Amino acid sequence: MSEPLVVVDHVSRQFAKPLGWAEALANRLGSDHQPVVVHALDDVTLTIAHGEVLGIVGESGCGKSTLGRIVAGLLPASTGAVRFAPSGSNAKLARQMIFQDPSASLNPRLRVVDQVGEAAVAHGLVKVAEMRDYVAVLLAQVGLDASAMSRFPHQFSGGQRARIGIARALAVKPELLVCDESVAALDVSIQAQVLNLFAELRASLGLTYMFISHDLGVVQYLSTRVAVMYLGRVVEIGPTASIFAAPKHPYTQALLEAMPRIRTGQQSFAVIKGEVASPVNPPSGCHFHPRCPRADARCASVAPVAVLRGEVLVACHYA
Amino acid sequence: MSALLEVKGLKTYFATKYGEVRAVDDVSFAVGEGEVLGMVGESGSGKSVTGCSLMGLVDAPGRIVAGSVKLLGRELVGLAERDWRALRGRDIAIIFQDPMLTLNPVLRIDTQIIEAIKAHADVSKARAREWAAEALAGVGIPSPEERLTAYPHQFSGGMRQRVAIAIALLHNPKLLIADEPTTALDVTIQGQILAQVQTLATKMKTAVIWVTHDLSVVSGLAHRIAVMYAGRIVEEGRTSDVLAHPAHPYTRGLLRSLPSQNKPGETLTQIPGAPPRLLNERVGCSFAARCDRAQALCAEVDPVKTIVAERAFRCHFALRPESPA
Repeated sequence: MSEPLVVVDHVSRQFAKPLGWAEALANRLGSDHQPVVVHALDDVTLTIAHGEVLGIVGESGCGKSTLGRIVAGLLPASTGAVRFAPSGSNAKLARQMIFQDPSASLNPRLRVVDQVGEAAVAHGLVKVAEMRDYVAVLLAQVGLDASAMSRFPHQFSGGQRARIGIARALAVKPELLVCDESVAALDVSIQAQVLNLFAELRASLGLTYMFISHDLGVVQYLSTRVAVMYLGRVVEIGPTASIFAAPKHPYTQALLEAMPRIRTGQQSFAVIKGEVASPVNPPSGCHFHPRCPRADARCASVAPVAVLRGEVLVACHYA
Repeated sequence: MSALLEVKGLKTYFATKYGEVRAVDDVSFAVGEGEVLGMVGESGSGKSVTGCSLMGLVDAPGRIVAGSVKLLGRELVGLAERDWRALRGRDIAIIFQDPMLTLNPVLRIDTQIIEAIKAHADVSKARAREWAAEALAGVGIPSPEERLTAYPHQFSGGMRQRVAIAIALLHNPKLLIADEPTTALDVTIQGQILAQVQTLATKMKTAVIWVTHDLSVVSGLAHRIAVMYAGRIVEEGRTSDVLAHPAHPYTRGLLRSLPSQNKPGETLTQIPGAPPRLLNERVGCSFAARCDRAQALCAEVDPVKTIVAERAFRCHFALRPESPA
């Protein structure tokens, strides 16, 4: 097997809120205030192979966006390492990120041509004189007309803005695209257009995706492998088909159970109890044990180690 | 099932500097006791404005231009504000998408719930407090007595939405309008809230209008589905019928563009183009420009509502049940 494009090796990430001046002063006088630490990622290990689409699913606060930012190189890891081995020379440009809200990630005061072409010019991929032609090709690639070039982001609809965001990421010839909820804000009919675009680009440019989404339907459709995250840990990772057909971790099972699907006839919403605990103070042992129907004393004390079951890696004592 | 709510020819327009926006344009439907109606549409289709029109919550520059909304035979359009105040929260209640905007951030939960109780019921302070605690317990909030003294920011998103639901249900309304109440929530929490509403509709006989952009959310909940496009209901019928055999090409397009309805690796069927602006005079079918079945007639003549066996649709060339979904 060839070397994977991305190796995430035991990555953890904490965010600490520094002490306020009053607490710092109190500490000098002998009291003991500890800074509030959010454990966003807790020892995450995974790989992304060339040309694959790795879907990352999980509920709010599970650390999926933090993981995306670390893989995209926008955030350093607290401990552990991300190894990225692109075939091109420039490792910084080879990983690009596509954000959720294109109206927030595009500069409202830049014309599309500058927005999309700026990075390519700055990094010397094209000359200033060639920028317009270069941008026209990129826009055509994402299904926009060349007349879009001289317009501003507010003159476009949500779906078109998403396309501009994609064109901007493609401008520096990336190999890995990290898509963080990139279709979450779009209407269903527009979402389908953008998902098709992702699939086309993958085929024509040989791109690799890390696709972060809370929408299980989207992930099931687009990704080749899925990682399910819960409170900073990957609880299950494996080929999409195996995970959706036979989820092994109780959390994955609950998540798929709750996934809204088109069905005829009334559904009984069998539900998982409780809510996700705070990442400031995650539960001991297996993070999922307070909500898990199968948990016992061992789950509360010992964090399960991921084991291989078939093609799927599961972190559960009883999977 | 006798109709609890009857809406006929409702038109809600908004005056803008570009002209009149026809957000809701000739919408008619009925909801019976204990029935759940799923109202589905994309952004700008008029589904939320329909909900607000039923609650008398349309403010200038918007106004209800024509039509009638009858709750148990009583006409609501043109009702005086003081009559509305007596009605809202007692007979009709609404839950919005974002509970942070529904709840007052500087008031404790108990203050807000007790205010809503006292608006419609003459009870003692102690009884109102008891009632508030029961309401919180009823939507599955643990240790309700203690939580009463908390502020909205001390609750998680799902819990806040439960508080909003508890307030909406205080007086056992006959009609509950749910305007995308689970869109901002995680799937497991969404499941919990859907289960709650389902129990409610069955047990209390509350009629529910569930407004959403996501067909799959209402498919397991709603008895009937109304699909809105460009200010109109383009198709309405029993949930199982509509999903299995959509009559309107737009409904079929929506269903086909859902990733979960497609095999991984296959190209998603997409509806080309984007929804129309609602400014101009309606000429022909507003979906014609995006429709794969459109013919010359569609661009010229606005299709009228056709009813065939409990199914209503507005399309000249409706799909027949035997054509594939």
